[in-house]
Amino acid sequence: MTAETVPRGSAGDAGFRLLAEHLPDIIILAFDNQLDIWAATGTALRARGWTAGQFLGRKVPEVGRPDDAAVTEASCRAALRGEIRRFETHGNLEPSRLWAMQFVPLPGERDAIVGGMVLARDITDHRRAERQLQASRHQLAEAQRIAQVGSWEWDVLFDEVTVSDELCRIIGLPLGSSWTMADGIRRLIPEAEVEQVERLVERMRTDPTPYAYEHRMVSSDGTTRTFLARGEGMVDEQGRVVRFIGTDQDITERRRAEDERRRLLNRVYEAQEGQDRRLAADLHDGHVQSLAAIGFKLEQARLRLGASGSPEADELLWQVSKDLSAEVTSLRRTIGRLRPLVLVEDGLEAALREEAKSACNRAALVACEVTSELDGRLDPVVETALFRVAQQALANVVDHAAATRALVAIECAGGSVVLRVSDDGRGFDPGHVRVVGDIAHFGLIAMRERVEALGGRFRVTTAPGEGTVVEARLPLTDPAERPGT
Amino acid sequence: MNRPRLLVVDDHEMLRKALVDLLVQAGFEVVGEGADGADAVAMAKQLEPDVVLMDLRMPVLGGLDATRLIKDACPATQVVLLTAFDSPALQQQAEEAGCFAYLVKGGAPGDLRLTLHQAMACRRSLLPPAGSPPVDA
Repeated sequence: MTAETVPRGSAGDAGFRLLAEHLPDIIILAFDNQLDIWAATGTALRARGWTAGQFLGRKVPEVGRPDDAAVTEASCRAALRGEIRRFETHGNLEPSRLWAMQFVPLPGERDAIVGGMVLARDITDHRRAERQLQASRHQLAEAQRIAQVGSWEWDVLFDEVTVSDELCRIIGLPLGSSWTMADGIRRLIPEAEVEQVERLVERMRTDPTPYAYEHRMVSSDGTTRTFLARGEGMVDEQGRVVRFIGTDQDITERRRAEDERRRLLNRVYEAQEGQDRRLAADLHDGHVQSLAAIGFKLEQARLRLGASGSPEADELLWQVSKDLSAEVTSLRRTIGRLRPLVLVEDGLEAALREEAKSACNRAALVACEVTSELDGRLDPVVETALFRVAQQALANVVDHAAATRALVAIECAGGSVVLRVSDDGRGFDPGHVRVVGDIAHFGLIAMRERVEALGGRFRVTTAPGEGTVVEARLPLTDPAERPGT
Repeated sequence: MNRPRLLVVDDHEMLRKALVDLLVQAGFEVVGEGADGADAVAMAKQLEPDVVLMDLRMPVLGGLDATRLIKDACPATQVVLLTAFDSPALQQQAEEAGCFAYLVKGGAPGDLRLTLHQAMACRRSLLPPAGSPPVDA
């Protein structure tokens, strides 16, 4: 590429030619002490179909926007004094374009200033990209603020963690904070969780697999907040983890709301169980005793009539006694459902055996086996919850499954107790049990809520023709730490 | 043959009265009535009935504990529990405490009479024949 010049043979010719050939989107004008343009070149000049002839021989302030003539002349003169001046302006021929104008001195032999150069760079696209980047950053910051999500980046090789402004705000750190990973853990992670977090970090050094991890951080004001961290590593050509990027979402309020919901649900269940207990006691101490007494009186009347009574009267009294006995049995069953005595007296396993036996009597089940790994009694609240889930699950087996075999299993694993009720029945398509009425009908919501209220997990595995497995997993925690206490 | 001598213990008064009336009508001799387990133990020691017909859940002292004390004091006296709780686990505990039978309230009245006669027969089989010297003589 060669610059077009008015014959001059100036000393700066080679310099601006070099610039012109290597810088994109640029126009270079060289001017003398009289501000006359003696050279004009640049990729931007040709890209626009302009010719050097449009510039050569004219004074610099004349080729720009008339409004800029004064500042252009002042900048040229400053360059002639050895100074560098810059300003931005819109194009004269294309006002939609934005130009960055730079005025620099042009030294001649023995470094004497013989003129100046104007380096005009079209920065329209650059500025647009900058604005878009700025807008994206703003949107990201706004999204992080709304979602209470902060982002972070860990340069594994240099062990430097940088965090977003939002994360700084959430945990009360100065904006632009950065630290080493060990320092960050020491400053932010509660002591009880340090070991666990350090294990995760150790894994991150070699394993870039995406992860999600819930942890707590201590804010600068001393409050502890709960975060859901997600991260993913990046590796170099050798497969080394060089960087991790991720987010930390503040889920403190969500966790609080969930805890509160669980607490309230537990209180509802406690109230419900209490009401059931009182009703069962009333029925047991009052109605069952009275009906039994009436039965004894009827039998006494039968005996008193004896041989002197008519066979019809005797038959009638016998029938009434029998009906009464059936009613008492039914009432006792109701009491058993309201307050399963065997659960209170003998624990979960015994209660489940009773329930399994009852299920066999009520359905076409050939067998309903109960297996248990329990050694001793559980927290009564946990026992009651698992029993109620099993009761509902077995009711579903009886009413809907058309199963021949069922299994109720209790296992203890990893600090949890797991109840599993499985059957070989018709199963169902979980996708078709979306109607609220259906779900309520199967008691699925009630079972799930009961389990989740105690911080447990509930799962149903089923498919048409494949039987059903209902699984409830509850943590074996200290009753004092239970939600709702 | 003497009429079977019964002690009837239940904290539900209406039921106890109805039960006593029925048993008397059926030919049993009710030698005493009590309203709790402590009554049952004291009266069993004092009256030495053939059979104690007793509720399970009662104030002061429950039927299971009362049964153990009665069987300690009067081994030949038979205890029949009559309760509203239909529970195999409790039935097992009653058997371990030394009860002769565990009946559920609201069952067929004929079963009650039959059980009491069986308890009576068992009691007689445990007693020494008339005229024989006391065991510890």
